Amino acid sequence: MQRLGGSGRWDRVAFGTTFQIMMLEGIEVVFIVIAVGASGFGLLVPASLGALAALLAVILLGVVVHRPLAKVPEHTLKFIVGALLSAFGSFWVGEGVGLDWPGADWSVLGLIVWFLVMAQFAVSLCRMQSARRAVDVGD
Amino acid sequence: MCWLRTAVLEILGLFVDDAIFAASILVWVMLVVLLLPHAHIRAEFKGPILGIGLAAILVESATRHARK
Repeated sequence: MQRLGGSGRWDRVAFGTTFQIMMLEGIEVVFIVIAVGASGFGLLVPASLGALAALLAVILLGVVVHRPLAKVPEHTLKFIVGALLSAFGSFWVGEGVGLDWPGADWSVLGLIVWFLVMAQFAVSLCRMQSARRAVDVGD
Repeated sequence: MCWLRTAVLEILGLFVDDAIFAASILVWVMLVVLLLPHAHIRAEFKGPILGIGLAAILVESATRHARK
């Protein structure tokens, strides 16, 4: 990204990437607020205020932790965030379709570990495939 | 209208990066919703079955991309 973004303080690629991701997350927030608001009379305003409070908390958190987080390698960050999102997504899909989880909400922790292990397994498989292909090309 | 097509594809791409991956997840969730209520499985195992299937789809998607 640094290579593509050009020189100077204004990085267009960083701006475009962040804009796309934030737009996607923003749309998710709108869906969540509408879903919660549709659950009962008078829930839309508290749901909207909750989303607004979360936005402010995220901005504050970003200001506080952006420097230490910038030191974490990009791929490591994506790997961990991907596992977290997969775990939470799976849990909420299960909740949404009425499935039970062992340990109720605590099972999210188990799902995080599960997705981290499976993602690491996928990485190993992908590396093996790449190595095998490199050997095939070499022959 | 090329710009419109590009914009639509970009917006779709925000939600669906890998069509086979997305379709597999939808099919698996539908199977879980339709079949698990009739299966004689303890209730607290039903969530983990969903999680196992989703992780398997994730691994398949990753290895399929690695093969390309």
